[in-house]
Amino acid sequence: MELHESHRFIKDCFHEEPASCSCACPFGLDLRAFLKKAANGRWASCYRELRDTVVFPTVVSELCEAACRDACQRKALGDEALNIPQIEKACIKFSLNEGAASYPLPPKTQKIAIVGAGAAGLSCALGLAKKKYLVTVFDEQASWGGRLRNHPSFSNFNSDFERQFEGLGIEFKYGHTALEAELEDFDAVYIASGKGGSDFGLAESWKAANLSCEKPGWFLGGELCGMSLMQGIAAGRKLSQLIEAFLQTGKAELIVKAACETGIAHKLDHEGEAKKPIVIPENAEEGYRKDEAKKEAARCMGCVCDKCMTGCELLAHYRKTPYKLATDIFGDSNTKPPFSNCEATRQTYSCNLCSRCEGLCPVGVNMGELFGFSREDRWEHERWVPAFHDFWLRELDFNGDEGFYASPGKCDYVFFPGCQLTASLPLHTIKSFELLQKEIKTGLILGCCGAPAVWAGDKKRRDTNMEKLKSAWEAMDRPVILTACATCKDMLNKQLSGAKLKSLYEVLDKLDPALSLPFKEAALFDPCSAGKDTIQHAAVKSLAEKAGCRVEELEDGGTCCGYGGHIRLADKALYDEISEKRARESERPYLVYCANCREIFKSKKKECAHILEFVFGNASIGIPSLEEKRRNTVRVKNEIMKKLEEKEFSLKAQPWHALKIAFSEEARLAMEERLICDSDVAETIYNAEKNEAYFTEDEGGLIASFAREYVTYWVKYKRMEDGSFRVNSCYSHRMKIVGLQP
Amino acid sequence: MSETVRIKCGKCGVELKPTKVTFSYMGRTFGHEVPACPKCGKVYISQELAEGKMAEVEMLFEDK
Repeated sequence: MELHESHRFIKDCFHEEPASCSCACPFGLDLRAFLKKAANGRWASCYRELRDTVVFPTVVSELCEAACRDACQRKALGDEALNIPQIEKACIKFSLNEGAASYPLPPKTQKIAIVGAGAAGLSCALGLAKKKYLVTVFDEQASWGGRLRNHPSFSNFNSDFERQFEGLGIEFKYGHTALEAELEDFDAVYIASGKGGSDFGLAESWKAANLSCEKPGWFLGGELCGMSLMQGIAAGRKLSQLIEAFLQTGKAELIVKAACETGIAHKLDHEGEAKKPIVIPENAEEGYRKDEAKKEAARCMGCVCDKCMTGCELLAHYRKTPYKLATDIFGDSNTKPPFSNCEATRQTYSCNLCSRCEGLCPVGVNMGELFGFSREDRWEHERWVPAFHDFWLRELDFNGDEGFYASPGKCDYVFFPGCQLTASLPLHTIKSFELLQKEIKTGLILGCCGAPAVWAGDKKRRDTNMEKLKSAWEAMDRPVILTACATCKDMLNKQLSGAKLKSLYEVLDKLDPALSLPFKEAALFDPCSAGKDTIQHAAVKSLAEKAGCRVEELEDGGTCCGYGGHIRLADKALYDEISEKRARESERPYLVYCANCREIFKSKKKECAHILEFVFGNASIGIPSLEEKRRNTVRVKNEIMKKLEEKEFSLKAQPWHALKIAFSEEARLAMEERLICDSDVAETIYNAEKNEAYFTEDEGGLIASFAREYVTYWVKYKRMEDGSFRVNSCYSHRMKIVGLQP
Repeated sequence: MSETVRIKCGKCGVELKPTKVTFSYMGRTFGHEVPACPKCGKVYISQELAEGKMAEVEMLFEDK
């Protein structure tokens, strides 16, 4: 994977962009961080944030024109802008014991001359001296300060200069006019001689971008070049970095992000933010007290977009920004175990791929697409976790083989119920087909749309499955496909080019069938895969309303019930959190049109019914076990084959199918939780009994195991007197037992 | 290791003994002492081990 491949998914995300106030600031001060610290009363840390960016905090807080206030987003709410200069002054006042910054760096040998001891020259001199370069400052005047010396507050500014330069070994040559010849001895020269000062004939070739000129290693800035005082200080700080780059590489270039124009705020709606009046200091001359400064700083809204990170359970849990995630996913693709580890494996496989984030994001960034891409990459490079998806891939294989059926002959429409509806509501599947057949010339394809392969990242399996569906569909003369599952519709739409798709519910709504009423009022829970399919949504609602049900729209519709992306084995706790939360979004029973949503909500004891239960009744049907689901698929196939072709179908008999096995409640729960089928248990017992490959416990208990490719099942059972077996518990592990050590 | 007291190999009829066994997962191989039949070498993993320490290590390797 290349960096641009992972980052293309999040290129529009503006989470990393600075706030609009920071963009307006000539120094680019991170005001979000500064104000957060001030609001918490962390004055020393707050001061460091200020000093490290604005260089001379006292000068800047006193003289800056505070363009940040014009850009403050409080104004968009009708409030006054934050009083940032006063908060800065309070911060300086409450952190007076904070000394100059000191860095344990080795001394450098390069010499730099600064011409002009005004604020612009001093700013550059300070930056270089902190990095231990040999700095000499020349000024024709008798001391530092430039034109600030005439300011009434100069004594305060002088203290600020002294405070920042404390302990730094800089040579100041006052009352000295620097000559070009003596400056030639220096490795770099910065001319900040002030308005009307000497430019050594270089001003004409001056480049504003990096303050350089035609003479290599010579730079110009400050009021000499028409900069304001603040621009001069900011330029001096930047130039100290540019000069260091020049000394190290010979090029005065910095790798920096492009300057922002408006910042993050123009994309924010400040939803949920209340108005807050500005804090007026009780004593105007003294300025803010600590509590006043904290309160005023706390008016900062933080102006950051984290809608995906607060609205999606997965992103909220891991608290990684989209940029960080894309970087981690790129890093994971280049991991070389055991020398480096992956950072985002579990997160990648814990995404429901429901596109909720895309709806939450003001610019439509879809993190699921990034996770889906990563899953494909991990599969391709065998960096996936097989146990996370193995069960569903085996189900897909079953549905593409024994469970697959395509009716013979050509037709105008073909009903594609999808494997989950067939397995979960077999009777409703058959009745839907019969009703369609009665009204329109309809064929049938039983099979899987390939979602398990897509969710696992297995492109080869996905394509093989789709090829099979395509062949069957083409043999029927490319009929309109009637889908009962929104995921199937979505998958076919993306992968079966040229196919016309229609929702079964749209057709049923037009057929006006007799209806039943499982409950009188319901909240309509759209499956996440339905996306913006309003026609399907309207048809389901219309059918339920015709049945006499009052249907409420969910405020936060189209969110995943928890099933999407098959996250259950990757992060069970998150899966439970999501599904339980979704089950509580309305007091009303849920009307669903996805077999998976129905099962999930039923398992969470939420009253719900599939729309087909309004059409064909039987809303009291529970959740079939994993084994029953397989049998249901075979049953539907057999019934249809009998009807259409007068042929019967049954699964190839295996010797363990003949075993009579009863399960304890504990075993049943464990099997459902760990996705262990009855036939897995039967095969385990059969092999154990046949080969005496079991362990014995006291009181006749037996323990047997059976290792599949990616999971090993263990079964604790007893032989009963009538030749049957009773299973008391089941468990499994993913680790492989290789063998005994010598 | 309390299981070794009560659990016997069905085929050999002998009690299990703590044995060094090699495991592998997610491309990593490592050794651990678990009960096994001293005669035929069949390894026993208790529910406690599978759902406790083993699950923890599985998660650790999956995250790497």
